[in-house]
Amino acid sequence: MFSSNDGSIGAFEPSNININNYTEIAKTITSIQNNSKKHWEAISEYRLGNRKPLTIGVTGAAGVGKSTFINKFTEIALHNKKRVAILAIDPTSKFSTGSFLGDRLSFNGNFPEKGVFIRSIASPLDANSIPLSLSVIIKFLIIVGYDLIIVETLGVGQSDVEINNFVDIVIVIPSHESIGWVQQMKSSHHDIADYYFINKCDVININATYNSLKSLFGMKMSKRTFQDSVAVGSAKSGDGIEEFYNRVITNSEIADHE
Amino acid sequence: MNNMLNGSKKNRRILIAKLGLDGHDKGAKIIINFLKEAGYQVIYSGLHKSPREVANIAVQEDVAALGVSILSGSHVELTTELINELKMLNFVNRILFVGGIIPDHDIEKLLNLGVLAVFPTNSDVNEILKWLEKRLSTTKVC
Repeated sequence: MFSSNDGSIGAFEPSNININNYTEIAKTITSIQNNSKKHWEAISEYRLGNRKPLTIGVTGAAGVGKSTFINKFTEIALHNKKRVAILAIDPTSKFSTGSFLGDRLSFNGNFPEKGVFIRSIASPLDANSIPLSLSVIIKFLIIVGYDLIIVETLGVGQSDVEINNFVDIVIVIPSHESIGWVQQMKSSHHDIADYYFINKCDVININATYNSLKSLFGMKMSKRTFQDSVAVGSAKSGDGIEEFYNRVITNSEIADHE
Repeated sequence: MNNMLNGSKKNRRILIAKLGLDGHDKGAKIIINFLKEAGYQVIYSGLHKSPREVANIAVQEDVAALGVSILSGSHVELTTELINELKMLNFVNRILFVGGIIPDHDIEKLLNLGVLAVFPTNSDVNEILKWLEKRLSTTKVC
C-alpha cells in the first residue's frame, strides 16, 4: 500500500511546517494521499499534547447547501479568531475515474488570504465514500496549527455514515424532499447526527421538515435532545448561522471539560 | 475504461480557472468535462477570480497543471500578474496553459511570459488533451 518513493529527501517532521506556507502544506497532503510511508508514520506517531482542536463533518444529500453552509460557518469562525481548514470531498466517476471537484465554487475566494486552507478531495474508487487518508490529513492539519477542521462529505444517500469515524461532531443538513416518516426511519443519518441544520428557510417552508424531525426525536434514541440539536436558518442569507455556530462551539467546549 | 489501467494518472490534478471580469465559462466547462471524462481530477475556480485568488487555489490544491480561460481581452496583463503571484508562492515546475479569445499576435507574448501553450477559440479539445497528457508525462512535478 505504501510507496517509499515520495520524491522528497530526508526525514519529515510535520511540526516544522509553517501554517502560512500553503505550498508545503499542500505538497504534504499530496504525499499523504500518495500513501507515502514516511509521512503516514511521522504524523501517526506525533503526539498532539494538550491542544483541543475541533473537527466537524458536514453531510447531507446533494444540493442541500453543504458548501454554502460551510462558507458562512467559516466566516463566523474567522470572526472568532479560529484558524480554519476545509476538506471538501466530491465524487469520482466510477466510469471515467475522473472527478469534478466543485465545492470551492461556493466558498469565498478570499478565504486563503484570511488564512483558511481549503483542499478538494476526490472520493476513492472503491466502495468507500471517504478515503482512509482523510484521518491522516486531518491530524496533519491539526499539527500544523489549525484548530477547526471542517470536512464536507460528498452528497450522500441513506446509509453513508462513514464520516462519523473521522470527526468529533457531525452536522446533518436534511433534504426537504425526504422528510416522510418512512424515509426518516430508513435513513441512518439520525444515528450519526449531533446537529441538524434545517437550511433554506428563506425560500422553502420548512415547517414540514421541522415537525418531521421533531417526531423522529420522539421515536428514536438520539445523541442529544431535539432542542439542543436542531437549528433553522439559511446558509445563503446567513440567518441563524451565528447562533448555531455559538451553540456548536459552546457545547463542544463544555464537553471538553467533562 | 482504459483509464482504470493507467496508474500514472492517479494523482494528476488540474485547475481550470477564470481570470478577471469576463462572465463566460462555457468553454471552461467543456474543458472541465472533457478532462473529467479523460480521468483527471478537475478543480474549477469559478468566475471573476483575481490572479491572487487563482494562485492561492492552485497552490492549496497542489495541481500539476493550471489552465486559464480569458475572453475579456486582458489576457496579457492578467497572465503576467498570475505568473508573478505563482512565483511569489514558490509554485514552480507546473504546467500553465491559456485558452480563450487570444489574437494571433498575442500568442507569442503569452509564450514568452512562461505559458506553455495557448489554445485560442476553435481549438480541438482532443488536441488539448493530447498535448496535456504529453506534458504531464514529461514534466516532473515536485
